[in-house]
Amino acid sequence: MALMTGEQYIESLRKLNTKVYMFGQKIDNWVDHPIIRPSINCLKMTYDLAQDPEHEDLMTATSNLTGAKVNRFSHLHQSTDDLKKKVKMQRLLGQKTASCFQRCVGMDAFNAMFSTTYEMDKTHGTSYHERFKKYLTYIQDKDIVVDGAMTDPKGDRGKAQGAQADPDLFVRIVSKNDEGIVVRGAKAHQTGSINSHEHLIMPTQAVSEDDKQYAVAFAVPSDAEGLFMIYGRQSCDTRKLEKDADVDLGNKRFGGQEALVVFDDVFVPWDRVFMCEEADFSGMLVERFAGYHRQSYGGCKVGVGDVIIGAAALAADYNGAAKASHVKDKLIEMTHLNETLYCCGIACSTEGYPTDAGNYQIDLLLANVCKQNITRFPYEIIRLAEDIAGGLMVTMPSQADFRSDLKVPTKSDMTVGQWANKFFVGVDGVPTENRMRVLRFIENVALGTAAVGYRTESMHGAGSPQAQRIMIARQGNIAAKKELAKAIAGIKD
Amino acid sequence: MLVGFKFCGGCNPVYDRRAAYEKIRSDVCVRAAERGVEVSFEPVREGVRYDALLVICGCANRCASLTAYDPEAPRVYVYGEGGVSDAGLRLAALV
Repeated sequence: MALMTGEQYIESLRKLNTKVYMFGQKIDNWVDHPIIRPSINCLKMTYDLAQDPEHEDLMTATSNLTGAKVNRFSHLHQSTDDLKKKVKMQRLLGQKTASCFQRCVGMDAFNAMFSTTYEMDKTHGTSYHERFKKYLTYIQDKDIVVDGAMTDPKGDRGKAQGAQADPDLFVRIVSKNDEGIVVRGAKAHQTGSINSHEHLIMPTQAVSEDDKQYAVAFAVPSDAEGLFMIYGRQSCDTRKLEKDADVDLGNKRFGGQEALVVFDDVFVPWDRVFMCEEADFSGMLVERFAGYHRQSYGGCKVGVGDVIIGAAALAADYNGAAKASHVKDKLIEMTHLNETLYCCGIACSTEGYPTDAGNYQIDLLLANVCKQNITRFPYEIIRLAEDIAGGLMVTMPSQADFRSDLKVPTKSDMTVGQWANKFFVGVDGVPTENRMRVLRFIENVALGTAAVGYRTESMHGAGSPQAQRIMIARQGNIAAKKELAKAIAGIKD
Repeated sequence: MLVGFKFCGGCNPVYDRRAAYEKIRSDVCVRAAERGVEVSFEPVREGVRYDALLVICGCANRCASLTAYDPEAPRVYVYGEGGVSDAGLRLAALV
C-alpha cells in the first residue's frame, strides 16, 4: 500500500471506534473536537510532509523488511545516517507545528522492540522476533500511527509492581490461554494515544522474576474491546472552545495531546504478544526505548525552539527593541542553547552502532546527556523569550476586545477595539494584531496549552531528570577516568 | 534532455530552496532553448536515466540521499543562495 495522505489519515481515524472521555463526557466525534483536532493536525503533518518533494528525503525511508518506501516514523534505523535523519525529521516537524507531533513514541518502540525480541529469542528460544517483524510489516504497509506506550501510573513509587496496594497500577497479565493473554492496567501521559490506530505496550521499568506477570509487551488496536482513554487537560485548553478562537490561542492549528489509556481486561492474541513474563529482558526493552526517546528530544524540542527564537525576534522587531544589544545577546543565547540540544541529538546518533538484530542503536550515554540538557535548556529559552516579549504577553485584552465594535461612552466616542488597538500598537507599519499574535504564541508555549509539550514534557517525558542521571552514572566510565588521573599525576598503586 | 531534481529534507535551510529550484530551472530552460535544446525537470525517480541531477540542499551539509538514483548522471549541487546562479550555469552546460 502507498503512503497515506494527510486527508486519508484523518478519514482513517473516523473509522475507528476509539472510546474517548473528556470533562466527564464521552466524546463521540473526537476527530473534529476543537480541543483535540489541533493534535490530530500535528500527526497529519507527518503524512503531508512525506508527500512533499521538499521534505520526503527526511520523511521517508526504504524498509529493510520489504524494500518499500515507508514513512520514517515506521522505519527501523539501518545506519547512523538513519539515526541522524530521524533527528532532522523531528526538528523539521517541530518547526512546522511548534508542538509535540506525537508519532516518535511508536518509532522508538519499534526499534527497541525489534532488537530486544531478537535477543530474547536467542536466550529463551521464543519466537517474538518473527512475530514482531510481521506486525511491523503490517504497520509499514498500512502506514498507520502506533502509540508506543510505556509509562504506568506507578502508584507508590517506593514499592515494586507486585507490592502496590492495587495490583493494576502497572499493566499486567491477568490470564493466559491457548489463544492469547488478557491484560489489565493503564498507561498514563500517553502522547497522541487517541490519534493512534494502534498501541504498542511495554513495561515501564525493569521487572523482577517475582513480578513476572508485569513483564509484558503487546500490540492492540486503539479501539480494542475493554480499552478506553481519558483525555488530559492542558492549561488554557478551553480557550479553544471560545467563539471564533484564533489570536488568543497563539497556535490555532497545532497542539499536543496526552491521555490516560485504560486496559480493563483486554484480550491480546498470541501473534501480537512480544514479551510474556520474560522479566530478565524487561530492563533491556525499557533502556533501549528510553535511549531512543531521549535522542528524539534533541530534534523535536529544537524545532519548537527554532519557532520560539523566531517569535522572540519578531516580538523585538514589533516592540522596536531589536537593536538593543541585550536583546541581540539574548537571541544569541537562545540560539546557542537550542543548537547545543541539536548537537546532543546528532552526537548520540553519529556514535550509534548496530544491534545484534541489525538495526541501529543510539549511544546511550550521549542520548541521556541530550535529555538531561532538555530538562533545563528549554526553560531558559522560553524564559528569555518572555524577557524579550515583555509583560504584555500575559496582560493584553482578548481578541474579542481588539475586534469589538462596542462604543465606550466617553468624550472620544471610540469603540473598545479602537481603544485597544490605539494603546497596544508597537512600531509604525506593523498592525497591532500581528504584535498580539506573536505575543500570544509566546504565551501559549510559556504557560498555555503548548507549555505541556515544551516545558513539562521536556522535564519528565522520556524519563525525569534523575532517570538520566542514573544512566549517566552507569555509562560514565569513572573507573577509566581515575586511571587517567593516576597516570597524569604519577600515582602508582 | 531530462534533469532529475532532489531536495534535501529541509530541517534548517538557510535560503528558499523552492525559489532556488524555480530560478535554476527557468535559467537552464532559457539557455538550453537558445541552443534549440528542450529540457524537462522531474522529481528524481529510481531506475530512470538522467542527463543530470540537480540536488537542492538547505545547507552545506548536503545530506540528501542519492544512492538509489542514476549513478552515471552528473550531479549539480546548490546549498546556498549565493550558489544559485552558478548552479544554473553549470547545469545549463551539462544539458
